[in-house]
Amino acid sequence: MNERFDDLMFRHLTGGLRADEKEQLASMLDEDPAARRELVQFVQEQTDLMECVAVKCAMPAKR
Amino acid sequence: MQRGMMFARRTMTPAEKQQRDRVVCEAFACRHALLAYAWALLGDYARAEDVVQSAFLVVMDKYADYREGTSMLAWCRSIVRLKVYEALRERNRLVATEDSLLHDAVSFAFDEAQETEQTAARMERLERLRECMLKLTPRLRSLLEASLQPGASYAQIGRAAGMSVEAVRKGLYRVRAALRDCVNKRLEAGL
Repeated sequence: MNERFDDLMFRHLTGGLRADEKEQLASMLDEDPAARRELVQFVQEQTDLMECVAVKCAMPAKR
Repeated sequence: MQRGMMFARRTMTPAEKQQRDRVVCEAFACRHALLAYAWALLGDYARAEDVVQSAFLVVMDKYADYREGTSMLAWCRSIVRLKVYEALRERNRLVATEDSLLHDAVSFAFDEAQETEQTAARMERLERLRECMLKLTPRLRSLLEASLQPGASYAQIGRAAGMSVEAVRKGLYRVRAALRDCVNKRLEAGL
């Protein structure tokens, strides 16, 4: 994960990318298999975090 | 006879019910992957949840179209993709070129990663994530949680937290990288 990709992905998932940035992200994905893997992992992690926060995942587990 | 009754659905046989339940159950195991996929296409988590929910209604209705032995995830993704385009058309009649390019690239990325994570493995990963989140400082945890709110932006988070946009961006990058590292280490160590 690098900072620029992380930045683009976060803003993509929150609907905050400009048109030129969308084209830039699309080019990165088209050209680089590692970027495609990173995209899938990033979105899955964010989905996990959404679920975690929704169920108060950060609270201590009941034993 | 009322006109509507002529089109009443015939009763399902027990075998059909069994098949439907099996398909729906298998499809539901893909829910997380489908939600991630829809979110990546739409750039809006709430709309992605709506799309996945409507896709499951299609799965329940079209369960007989699923071919045994083929990828359930791929079949469900094709339904989600159609629902995503329906949702986009409802909002904008024309999809901008850059959106179309990005959708194609995102779809290709997910098509390459076809594997479905087993539910038990996913639960394990969520548990490790929960533990790793507990290790974050309250400030970092609240920064992360703020980033998961609907319509979150660096500027909005920064205003609420008294931080610059750049500090928020760097902080979120670091906390996400730290969480990934923490989860991976715990999974590798079998903790």
